[in-house]
Amino acid sequence: MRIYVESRDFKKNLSFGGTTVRQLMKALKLNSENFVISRNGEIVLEDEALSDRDKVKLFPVISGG
Amino acid sequence: MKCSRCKNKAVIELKYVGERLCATHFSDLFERRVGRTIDKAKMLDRKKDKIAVGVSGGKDSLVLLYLLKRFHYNIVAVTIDEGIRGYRDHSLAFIKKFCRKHKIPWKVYSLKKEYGFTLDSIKNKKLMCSYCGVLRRGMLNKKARQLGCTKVATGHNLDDETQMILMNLFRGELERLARTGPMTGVIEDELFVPRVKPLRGCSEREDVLYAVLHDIKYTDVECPYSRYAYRNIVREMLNKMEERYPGTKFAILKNFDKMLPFLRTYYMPREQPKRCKKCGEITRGSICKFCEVVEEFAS
Repeated sequence: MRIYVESRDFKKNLSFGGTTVRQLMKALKLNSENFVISRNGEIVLEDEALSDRDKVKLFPVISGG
Repeated sequence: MKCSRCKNKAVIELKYVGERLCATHFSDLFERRVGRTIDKAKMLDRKKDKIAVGVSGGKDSLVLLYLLKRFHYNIVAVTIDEGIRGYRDHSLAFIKKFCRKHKIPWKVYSLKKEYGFTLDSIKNKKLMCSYCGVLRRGMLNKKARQLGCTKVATGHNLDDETQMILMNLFRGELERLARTGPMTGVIEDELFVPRVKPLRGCSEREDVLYAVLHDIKYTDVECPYSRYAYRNIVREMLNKMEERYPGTKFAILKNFDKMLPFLRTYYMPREQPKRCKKCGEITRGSICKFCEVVEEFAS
Protein backbone atom coordinates (compact mmCIF):
# COMPACT_ATOMS: atom_id res chain seq x y z
CA MET A 1 0.00 0.00 0.00
CA ARG A 2 1.00 3.67 -0.41
CA ILE A 3 1.38 5.75 2.74
CA TYR A 4 2.15 9.47 2.99
CA VAL A 5 4.36 10.24 5.99
CA GLU A 6 5.18 13.71 7.28
CA SER A 7 7.45 14.74 10.15
CA ARG A 8 9.59 17.70 11.20
CA ASP A 9 12.50 16.59 9.05
CA PHE A 10 10.85 14.90 6.06
CA LYS A 11 7.76 14.37 3.93
CA LYS A 12 7.47 11.28 1.74
CA ASN A 13 5.17 8.91 -0.10
CA LEU A 14 6.26 5.35 0.39
CA SER A 15 5.34 1.85 -0.68
CA PHE A 16 4.79 -0.14 2.45
CA GLY A 17 4.38 -3.92 2.85
CA GLY A 18 3.18 -3.95 6.46
CA THR A 19 -0.23 -3.41 8.04
CA THR A 20 0.27 -1.46 11.31
CA VAL A 21 1.75 1.80 12.60
CA ARG A 22 4.33 -0.23 14.52
CA GLN A 23 5.52 -1.88 11.29
CA LEU A 24 5.62 1.48 9.53
CA MET A 25 7.83 2.94 12.26
CA LYS A 26 10.10 -0.08 12.03
CA ALA A 27 10.33 0.37 8.25
CA LEU A 28 11.27 4.02 8.80
CA LYS A 29 13.82 2.94 11.45
CA LEU A 30 12.22 5.26 13.99
CA ASN A 31 11.51 4.63 17.68
CA SER A 32 7.79 5.09 18.40
CA GLU A 33 8.65 6.28 21.91
CA ASN A 34 10.03 9.47 20.36
CA PHE A 35 6.83 10.44 18.51
CA VAL A 36 3.16 11.15 18.95
CA ILE A 37 1.56 9.71 15.82
CA SER A 38 -1.58 10.71 13.95
CA ARG A 39 -3.32 8.89 11.08
CA ASN A 40 -5.59 10.99 8.86
CA GLY A 41 -5.69 13.65 11.60
CA GLU A 42 -6.50 11.31 14.51
CA ILE A 43 -4.01 10.33 17.21
CA VAL A 44 -3.30 6.60 17.12
CA LEU A 45 -1.31 4.04 19.05
CA GLU A 46 1.27 1.73 17.52
CA ASP A 47 -1.04 -1.23 17.12
CA GLU A 48 -3.43 0.70 14.85
CA ALA A 49 -3.95 -0.78 11.36
CA LEU A 50 -3.07 1.28 8.27
CA SER A 51 -4.92 1.44 4.95
CA ASP A 52 -3.83 2.38 1.47
CA ARG A 53 -3.33 6.17 1.02
CA ASP A 54 -3.42 6.92 4.75
CA LYS A 55 -1.69 10.12 5.81
CA VAL A 56 0.55 9.66 8.83
CA LYS A 57 1.99 12.58 10.73
CA LEU A 58 4.78 12.21 13.30
CA PHE A 59 5.11 14.78 16.09
CA PRO A 60 8.57 14.55 17.64
CA VAL A 61 8.49 14.33 21.43
CA ILE A 62 12.03 15.55 21.99
CA SER A 63 12.80 19.13 21.15
CA GLY A 64 15.90 21.07 22.01
CA GLY A 65 15.68 24.63 23.09
CA MET B 1 -7.41 -0.34 21.62
CA LYS B 2 -10.00 1.14 23.95
CA CYS B 3 -9.61 3.63 26.77
CA SER B 4 -9.30 1.95 30.20
CA ARG B 5 -12.03 4.25 31.54
CA CYS B 6 -14.58 4.31 28.69
CA LYS B 7 -15.29 2.77 25.29
CA ASN B 8 -13.56 5.44 23.22
CA LYS B 9 -10.37 4.90 21.29
CA ALA B 10 -7.16 5.28 23.33
CA VAL B 11 -4.64 7.97 22.29
CA ILE B 12 -1.93 7.24 24.86
CA GLU B 13 -0.64 4.37 26.90
CA LEU B 14 0.54 5.43 30.34
CA LYS B 15 2.81 2.53 31.15
CA TYR B 16 3.69 3.89 34.59
CA VAL B 17 0.08 3.45 35.75
CA GLY B 18 -0.89 0.63 33.38
CA GLU B 19 -3.67 2.62 31.68
CA ARG B 20 -4.66 3.56 28.15
CA LEU B 21 -6.66 6.78 27.86
CA CYS B 22 -8.86 8.41 25.24
CA ALA B 23 -8.48 12.11 24.34
CA THR B 24 -11.09 13.26 26.87
CA HIS B 25 -9.79 11.23 29.80
CA PHE B 26 -6.18 12.09 28.98
CA SER B 27 -6.93 15.84 28.84
CA ASP B 28 -8.83 15.59 32.10
CA LEU B 29 -5.95 13.78 33.80
CA PHE B 30 -3.38 16.22 32.38
CA GLU B 31 -5.27 19.32 33.52
CA ARG B 32 -5.95 17.87 36.98
CA ARG B 33 -2.30 17.00 37.36
CA VAL B 34 -1.18 20.53 36.48
CA GLY B 35 -3.80 21.93 38.89
CA ARG B 36 -2.59 19.62 41.64
CA THR B 37 1.05 20.55 41.02
CA ILE B 38 0.16 24.25 41.36
CA ASP B 39 -1.93 23.72 44.51
CA LYS B 40 0.39 21.27 46.27
CA ALA B 41 3.39 23.61 46.14
CA LYS B 42 1.17 26.72 46.60
CA MET B 43 2.76 28.05 43.41
CA LEU B 44 0.14 30.56 42.32
CA ASP B 45 -2.67 32.64 43.79
CA ARG B 46 -5.46 33.81 41.46
CA LYS B 47 -6.19 36.89 43.56
CA LYS B 48 -2.69 38.02 44.51
CA ASP B 49 -0.36 36.96 41.72
CA LYS B 50 0.41 38.58 38.40
CA ILE B 51 2.34 35.93 36.48
CA ALA B 52 5.01 36.44 33.83
CA VAL B 53 4.95 33.29 31.72
CA GLY B 54 8.28 32.66 29.99
CA VAL B 55 7.34 31.71 26.43
CA SER B 56 9.70 30.28 23.82
CA GLY B 57 7.07 29.20 21.30
CA GLY B 58 7.71 25.50 21.91
CA LYS B 59 5.10 22.98 23.05
CA ASP B 60 5.78 23.29 26.80
CA SER B 61 5.56 27.05 27.15
CA LEU B 62 2.49 27.35 24.90
CA VAL B 63 0.69 24.53 26.72
CA LEU B 64 1.49 26.29 30.00
CA LEU B 65 0.20 29.61 28.68
CA TYR B 66 -2.96 27.93 27.39
CA LEU B 67 -3.65 26.23 30.74
CA LEU B 68 -2.94 29.25 32.95
CA LYS B 69 -5.33 31.27 30.79
CA ARG B 70 -7.88 28.48 31.01
CA PHE B 71 -7.42 28.33 34.81
CA HIS B 72 -8.17 32.11 34.95
CA TYR B 73 -4.81 33.33 36.27
CA ASN B 74 -3.62 36.89 35.69
CA ILE B 75 -0.90 36.33 33.09
CA VAL B 76 1.41 38.13 30.71
CA ALA B 77 3.53 36.23 28.17
CA VAL B 78 7.20 37.24 28.15
CA THR B 79 9.71 36.21 25.49
CA ILE B 80 13.44 36.79 25.62
CA ASP B 81 14.84 37.08 22.09
CA GLU B 82 18.45 35.91 22.38
CA GLY B 83 19.04 36.45 18.68
CA ILE B 84 19.43 32.90 17.37
CA ARG B 85 18.83 33.19 13.66
CA GLY B 86 16.53 30.58 12.09
CA TYR B 87 15.26 29.57 15.53
CA ARG B 88 14.05 32.48 17.62
CA ASP B 89 12.77 34.52 14.66
CA HIS B 90 10.76 31.46 13.60
CA SER B 91 9.25 30.92 17.07
CA LEU B 92 8.22 34.58 17.54
CA ALA B 93 5.66 34.17 14.75
CA PHE B 94 4.03 31.22 16.57
CA ILE B 95 3.83 33.12 19.86
CA LYS B 96 2.37 36.19 18.19
CA LYS B 97 -0.40 34.14 16.56
CA PHE B 98 -1.12 32.21 19.75
CA CYS B 99 -1.32 35.28 21.99
CA ARG B 100 -3.52 37.09 19.51
CA LYS B 101 -5.89 34.11 19.22
CA HIS B 102 -6.17 33.69 23.00
CA LYS B 103 -6.09 37.42 23.83
CA ILE B 104 -3.03 37.19 26.06
CA PRO B 105 -0.76 40.25 26.49
CA TRP B 106 2.73 39.57 25.15
CA LYS B 107 6.06 41.32 25.67
CA VAL B 108 9.30 40.61 23.77
CA TYR B 109 12.71 41.75 25.01
CA SER B 110 15.76 41.53 22.79
CA LEU B 111 19.25 40.79 24.08
CA LYS B 112 20.66 42.72 21.12
CA LYS B 113 18.59 45.83 21.83
CA GLU B 114 19.25 45.81 25.58
CA TYR B 115 22.89 44.67 25.72
CA GLY B 116 24.22 45.01 22.15
CA PHE B 117 25.00 41.36 21.34
CA THR B 118 23.29 38.11 20.33
CA LEU B 119 23.94 34.49 21.24
CA ASP B 120 24.97 33.86 17.63
CA SER B 121 27.93 36.17 18.17
CA ILE B 122 29.34 34.00 20.99
CA LYS B 123 32.20 31.84 19.73
CA ASN B 124 32.34 29.20 22.48
CA LYS B 125 29.43 27.00 21.37
CA LYS B 126 30.05 24.31 24.01
CA LEU B 127 29.10 26.65 26.86
CA MET B 128 26.20 28.19 24.95
CA CYS B 129 23.43 26.61 27.05
CA SER B 130 25.03 27.89 30.29
CA TYR B 131 25.38 31.44 28.94
CA CYS B 132 21.88 31.36 27.51
CA GLY B 133 20.43 30.12 30.81
CA VAL B 134 22.10 32.90 32.81
CA LEU B 135 20.99 35.59 30.34
CA ARG B 136 17.41 34.37 29.97
CA ARG B 137 16.86 33.87 33.71
CA GLY B 138 18.37 37.26 34.48
CA MET B 139 16.36 39.14 31.87
CA LEU B 140 13.15 37.30 32.72
CA ASN B 141 13.53 38.20 36.41
CA LYS B 142 14.22 41.88 35.68
CA LYS B 143 11.45 42.25 33.13
CA ALA B 144 8.91 40.38 35.25
CA ARG B 145 9.65 42.75 38.13
CA GLN B 146 9.35 45.80 35.89
CA LEU B 147 5.98 44.52 34.68
CA GLY B 148 4.81 44.28 38.29
CA CYS B 149 4.70 40.48 38.25
CA THR B 150 4.90 38.52 41.49
CA LYS B 151 5.75 35.15 39.91
CA VAL B 152 7.55 33.82 36.85
CA ALA B 153 6.14 30.59 35.42
CA THR B 154 8.16 28.43 33.05
CA GLY B 155 7.23 25.37 30.99
CA HIS B 156 9.77 22.94 32.47
CA ASN B 157 8.33 19.43 32.23
CA LEU B 158 9.02 16.10 33.96
CA ASP B 159 11.82 15.30 31.53
CA ASP B 160 13.51 18.68 32.04
CA GLU B 161 13.24 18.35 35.80
CA THR B 162 14.59 14.81 36.09
CA GLN B 163 17.43 15.63 33.67
CA MET B 164 18.31 18.68 35.74
CA ILE B 165 18.28 16.67 38.99
CA LEU B 166 20.61 14.00 37.62
CA MET B 167 22.90 16.53 35.91
CA ASN B 168 23.40 18.36 39.19
CA LEU B 169 23.95 15.09 41.07
CA PHE B 170 26.49 13.89 38.50
CA ARG B 171 28.35 17.18 38.72
CA GLY B 172 28.21 17.31 42.52
CA GLU B 173 26.24 20.57 42.44
CA LEU B 174 24.10 19.96 45.52
CA GLU B 175 23.97 23.62 46.50
CA ARG B 176 22.61 24.47 43.06
CA LEU B 177 20.09 21.63 43.40
CA ALA B 178 18.86 23.16 46.68
CA ARG B 179 17.83 26.28 44.72
CA THR B 180 15.61 24.31 42.31
CA GLY B 181 12.30 22.48 42.92
CA PRO B 182 8.67 23.42 42.24
CA MET B 183 9.26 26.97 43.50
CA THR B 184 12.78 28.16 42.78
CA GLY B 185 15.07 29.84 45.28
CA VAL B 186 15.97 29.54 48.94
CA ILE B 187 15.97 33.26 49.69
CA GLU B 188 13.29 35.91 49.82
CA ASP B 189 14.30 39.25 48.39
CA GLU B 190 12.37 42.13 46.87
CA LEU B 191 14.47 41.90 43.70
CA PHE B 192 13.87 38.20 43.18
CA VAL B 193 10.65 37.07 41.50
CA PRO B 194 10.00 33.43 42.52
CA ARG B 195 9.92 31.00 39.60
CA VAL B 196 7.38 28.19 39.39
CA LYS B 197 7.06 25.15 37.13
CA PRO B 198 3.45 23.98 36.87
CA LEU B 199 4.22 21.34 34.19
CA ARG B 200 6.91 19.53 36.16
CA GLY B 201 4.63 16.52 36.68
CA CYS B 202 3.89 16.11 32.95
CA SER B 203 6.18 14.30 30.54
CA GLU B 204 7.40 15.71 27.25
CA ARG B 205 5.26 13.15 25.38
CA GLU B 206 2.17 14.21 27.34
CA ASP B 207 2.86 17.88 26.57
CA VAL B 208 3.08 17.15 22.83
CA LEU B 209 -0.11 15.10 22.91
CA TYR B 210 -2.00 17.77 24.86
CA ALA B 211 -0.83 20.44 22.39
CA VAL B 212 -1.90 18.38 19.36
CA LEU B 213 -5.28 17.47 20.87
CA HIS B 214 -6.02 21.11 21.73
CA ASP B 215 -4.82 22.52 18.42
CA ILE B 216 -1.98 24.45 20.05
CA LYS B 217 0.33 25.31 17.17
CA TYR B 218 3.94 25.35 18.37
CA THR B 219 7.34 25.49 16.77
CA ASP B 220 9.33 22.27 16.79
CA VAL B 221 12.44 23.81 15.26
CA GLU B 222 15.36 22.78 17.41
CA CYS B 223 17.75 25.30 18.87
CA PRO B 224 20.92 24.93 16.73
CA TYR B 225 23.05 24.95 19.88
CA SER B 226 21.18 22.23 21.77
CA ARG B 227 23.35 19.50 20.24
CA TYR B 228 26.25 20.74 22.33
CA ALA B 229 24.37 20.17 25.58
CA TYR B 230 25.48 17.67 28.25
CA ARG B 231 21.75 17.33 28.87
CA ASN B 232 21.37 15.20 25.71
CA ILE B 233 23.45 12.38 27.18
CA VAL B 234 21.45 12.41 30.41
CA ARG B 235 18.18 12.54 28.44
CA GLU B 236 19.11 9.48 26.40
CA MET B 237 20.05 7.54 29.51
CA LEU B 238 16.85 8.49 31.34
CA ASN B 239 14.65 7.62 28.36
CA LYS B 240 16.23 4.17 28.18
CA MET B 241 15.57 3.67 31.90
CA GLU B 242 11.97 4.84 31.54
CA GLU B 243 11.35 2.52 28.59
CA ARG B 244 12.66 -0.45 30.57
CA TYR B 245 11.34 0.57 33.98
CA PRO B 246 8.22 2.74 33.52
CA GLY B 247 7.79 5.22 36.35
CA THR B 248 11.52 5.93 36.78
CA LYS B 249 11.13 9.66 36.07
CA PHE B 250 8.22 10.06 38.49
CA ALA B 251 10.21 8.20 41.16
CA ILE B 252 13.20 10.54 40.70
CA LEU B 253 11.01 13.64 40.97
CA LYS B 254 9.02 12.36 43.96
CA ASN B 255 12.13 11.37 45.89
CA PHE B 256 13.90 14.61 45.02
CA ASP B 257 10.94 16.57 46.39
CA LYS B 258 11.26 14.60 49.63
CA MET B 259 14.97 15.46 49.88
CA LEU B 260 14.57 19.12 48.94
CA PRO B 261 13.64 20.50 52.41
CA PHE B 262 16.80 18.91 53.86
CA LEU B 263 18.98 20.31 51.06
CA ARG B 264 17.47 23.77 51.53
CA THR B 265 18.03 23.74 55.27
CA TYR B 266 21.63 22.62 54.81
CA TYR B 267 22.42 25.17 52.11
CA MET B 268 20.41 28.08 53.53
CA PRO B 269 22.68 31.12 53.04
CA ARG B 270 24.00 32.42 56.35
CA GLU B 271 24.45 35.94 55.00
CA GLN B 272 21.94 38.29 53.43
CA PRO B 273 22.24 38.32 49.62
CA LYS B 274 24.54 41.05 48.30
CA ARG B 275 23.87 43.55 45.54
CA CYS B 276 25.82 43.38 42.28
CA LYS B 277 28.20 46.33 42.02
CA LYS B 278 27.32 46.80 38.35
CA CYS B 279 23.57 46.27 38.06
CA GLY B 280 22.31 46.19 41.65
CA GLU B 281 20.69 42.75 41.27
CA ILE B 282 21.10 39.93 43.81
CA THR B 283 24.44 38.13 43.86
CA ARG B 284 26.58 35.99 46.11
CA GLY B 285 29.83 37.55 44.91
CA SER B 286 30.50 41.18 44.14
CA ILE B 287 29.37 40.97 40.49
CA CYS B 288 26.44 38.79 39.38
CA LYS B 289 26.75 36.03 36.76
CA PHE B 290 24.54 38.00 34.40
CA CYS B 291 26.92 40.97 34.40
CA GLU B 292 29.92 38.64 34.07
CA VAL B 293 28.44 37.15 30.88
CA VAL B 294 27.36 40.52 29.50
CA GLU B 295 30.81 41.98 30.19
CA GLU B 296 32.47 39.09 28.38
CA PHE B 297 30.42 39.40 25.19
CA ALA B 298 29.04 42.92 24.97
CA SER B 299 32.33 44.46 23.84
